[in-house]
Amino acid sequence: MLTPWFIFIVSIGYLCLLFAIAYYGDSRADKGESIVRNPYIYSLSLAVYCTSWTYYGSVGRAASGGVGFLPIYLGPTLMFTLGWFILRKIIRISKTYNITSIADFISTRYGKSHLLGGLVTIIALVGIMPYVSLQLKAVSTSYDILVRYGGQDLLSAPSNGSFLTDTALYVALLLAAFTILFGTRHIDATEQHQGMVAAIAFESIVKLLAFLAVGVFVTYSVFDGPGEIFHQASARPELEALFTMDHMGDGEWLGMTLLAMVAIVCLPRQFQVGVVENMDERHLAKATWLFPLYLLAINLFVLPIAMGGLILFGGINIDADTFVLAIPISEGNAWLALFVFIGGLSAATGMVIVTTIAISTMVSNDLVMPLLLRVGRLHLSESKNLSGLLLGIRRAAIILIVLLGYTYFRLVGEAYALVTIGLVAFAAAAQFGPAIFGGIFWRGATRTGALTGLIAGFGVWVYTLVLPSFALSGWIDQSLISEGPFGINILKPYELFGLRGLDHITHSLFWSMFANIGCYLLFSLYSRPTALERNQATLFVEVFRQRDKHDRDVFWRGHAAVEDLVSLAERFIGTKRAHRGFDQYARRRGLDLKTLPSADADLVKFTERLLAGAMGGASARILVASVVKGEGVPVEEMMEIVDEATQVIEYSHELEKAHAELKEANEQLKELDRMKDEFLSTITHELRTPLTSIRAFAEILQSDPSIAAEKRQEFLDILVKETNRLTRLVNQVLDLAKLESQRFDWTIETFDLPELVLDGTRRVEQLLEQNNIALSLNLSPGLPPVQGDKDKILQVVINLISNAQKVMEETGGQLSVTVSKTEEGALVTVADNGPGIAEEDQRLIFDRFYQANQKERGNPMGVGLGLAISQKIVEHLNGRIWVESELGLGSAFCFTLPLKEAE
Amino acid sequence: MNRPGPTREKTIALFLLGLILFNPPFLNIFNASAQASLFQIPVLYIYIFSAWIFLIVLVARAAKSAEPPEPSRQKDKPKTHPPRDAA
Repeated sequence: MLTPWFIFIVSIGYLCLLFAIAYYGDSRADKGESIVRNPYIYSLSLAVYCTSWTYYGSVGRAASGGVGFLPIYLGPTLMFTLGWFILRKIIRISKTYNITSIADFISTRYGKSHLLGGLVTIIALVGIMPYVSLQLKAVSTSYDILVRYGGQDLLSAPSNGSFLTDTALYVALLLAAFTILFGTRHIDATEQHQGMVAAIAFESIVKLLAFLAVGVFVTYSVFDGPGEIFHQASARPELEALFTMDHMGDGEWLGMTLLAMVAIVCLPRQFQVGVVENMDERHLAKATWLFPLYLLAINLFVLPIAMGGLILFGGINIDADTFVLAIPISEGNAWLALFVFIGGLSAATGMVIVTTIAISTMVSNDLVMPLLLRVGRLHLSESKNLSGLLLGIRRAAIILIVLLGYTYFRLVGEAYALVTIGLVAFAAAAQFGPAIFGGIFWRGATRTGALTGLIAGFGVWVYTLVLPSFALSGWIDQSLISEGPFGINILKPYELFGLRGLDHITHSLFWSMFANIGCYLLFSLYSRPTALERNQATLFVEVFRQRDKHDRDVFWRGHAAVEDLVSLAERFIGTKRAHRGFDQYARRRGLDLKTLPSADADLVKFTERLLAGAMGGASARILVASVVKGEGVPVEEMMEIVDEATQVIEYSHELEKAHAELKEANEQLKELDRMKDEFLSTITHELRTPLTSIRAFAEILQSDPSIAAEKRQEFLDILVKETNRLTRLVNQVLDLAKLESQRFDWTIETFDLPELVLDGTRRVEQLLEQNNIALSLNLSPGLPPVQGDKDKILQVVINLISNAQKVMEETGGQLSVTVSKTEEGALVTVADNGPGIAEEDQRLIFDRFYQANQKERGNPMGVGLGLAISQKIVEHLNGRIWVESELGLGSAFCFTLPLKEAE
Repeated sequence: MNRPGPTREKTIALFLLGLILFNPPFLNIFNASAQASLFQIPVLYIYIFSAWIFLIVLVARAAKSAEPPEPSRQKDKPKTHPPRDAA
């Protein structure tokens, strides 16, 4: 029944069904009715993780290592518990910056570096190659087994068929063709393949059902439930050993778990379905438990099948990797065997399709295009439509990858069990881990760190896993493994630096991660990032804090013609898609691009992002730069771009400063308020004193008409004196208020200072004589004229002299008034030999209402405003006023005025 | 703030729980003897799978506790960005 032709036709039919699903998915997507936009399809598409390695290999590994296959699935479960925390961040970053592959992600994070993108691509290509070949091997082996079904030849070794009958080659070519049809129908700005995702999700269902079917068949039809299988197995000591994990070291278990944790993010195909093809990051919430649930379901029957197979084929030499297929065949269930084969085909094709799409995108965007741009940039920018070129590169890359996988399969692959090959690929993909996880959480990680880390990790991986595998295949001398290179024991690839007791994979993982993370940290800490790197680091690390994703990239400042940008985009992503993109942009911004005189930085950024989706961030940057005039921002300006965190710190400093300033201003206001109150209370006090005495004397005069005329005259004198005092006080207060509010009328003129001082002394001469005060004048006539308000200066002079007169009123004394010339201008000194002023009072004496030793001397005449007014006047006229005094020796009040000629 | 999905603290706590459940030395407790079995199934197997399903249930509950509005109902709508969340 299962003739080769029948199997072949069923397989082709199945692939056609897949294609139909993909086509349907794509056409629905084009109409805007996505069938994959839901969390279930998303979770199922993630299950592309389960390749034929899972499908056939898990049983093989379980048959020799018991539960040892499980860390490969527990690791992703653990990573997905963190999914909302880590994966969502990666998804958000990728969506925001149109990142389309793992190489693009790393290169964009570290300053849009072409070098890094290329390196990641090469590592992915080299590392994943064996994995692709593993799928080919699985399909061709399972096909061979199925074809030879009939019982007669199940046990014979696989034939090394001639080139033309080689199944694997046909499988490879078929898959390549299929992938090209799926993945490279057109160049898209988002690089999403909804049709492909639909097909992958369908495949995930098929392989799960097939595996569950065979599991149920083995467990409940061949045997009588899982209990019986394990019971029978426990009878055999060699199987009973599989019930424990004694054969697996703790380090190995932990190592595998961590490896799988990293791989679920870093494998190119997982990045493709999990990040690039993600339609909505909210889908991740359900996927965090649905995907682990899928993993659990597909692993549920692994142990029963493995044990069952070992029991059934005990003693016969059948590869445990083929138990899944061999048991239905040996039990004569042809249809189930066919279904299992289709399930295996699903697992293999899903992996190959997604992987080749992911890697071909990397090869075209991060390897070939940058090289073309660099080598033949002029030529390239002249050619008309380049989206065809991009597609061509990708198609060629797909064929190349599949054929390389096939070559590896023919040359090396057959020497290895499925699981080992898969783990080698995992270890290669894990090298991206530090650069990715470090890059999204650690702002300080630099390009140099990522570059050296990747190179070191990849180098160690090659040395500890790939070279020895070549030795095992006989390509190079086996002595490399047994004795080390050139007989240097310490460098044996499986026991590097004498590290023993680990399996090869864990051993390699340890050393490669040691080198990778070590270099990554060391070189990141000791290298200076460029401004672009720092900018990108901030964009990645703080992706959730970007308010408007369009406003952060400050690296385009120049201007470009709109039509240049449009035609650039047209050439790479096709006319229709380019126009659609620009139309959407114009609508969102409410612009009309046709009337826009030139593209602003925002439109330039938009174009760069549009192109980045099709060809990678680094290449897009170069292309856009070729169109923008005055491209980029000068270095000094770049250096000014401060990290957001620094800005936050600065803001908080500024806030604190502003707060302190406000507090200070508040204090000042309070002080002013207090001073105003004080001023008011003093002034009312000063007003009340004369008023009280006026009122008292007026009342006496009013109530007692019999007062003697002499007495009456005395009282009236007092009344006049007090009223004068009141008037003076009010005038002074008014003067002061005017001075302080700058509403004083100034009459600036040039006059002779000695003359003015003489005039002033004459006015008080009488008073001085009355009080027994001798006046000596030294006026240095011939002094150049001074400039100022004559009347006000006179007021100052009289005020100073009358102050001196007041302090010497009772004792009499010597008053000397001097006018002289100093460097500052004209100097007027009014010196007395009165009691003097205490030092602590000298500073305060010019304050309003300050009266030195007022109580002691009981000075009734001063109201304390004269000096304050004098100070205001002198200072307004650009002079200076001060007092020199010593207690008991007298005081000298001095003021200066600028000379006319000094100006 | 409307936080869709589990909180970061919950996420990390569950991760640590899983890390401990799925690794030695915890695992070694159930690795006592090949004879130990439940319904004739080795306890080690039973333990790993039940711990696994236990963790999945916890993660599902955490994801559900603050799940965003059913996304399938708003297919065809242009992609809207979920509320910002400083993760």
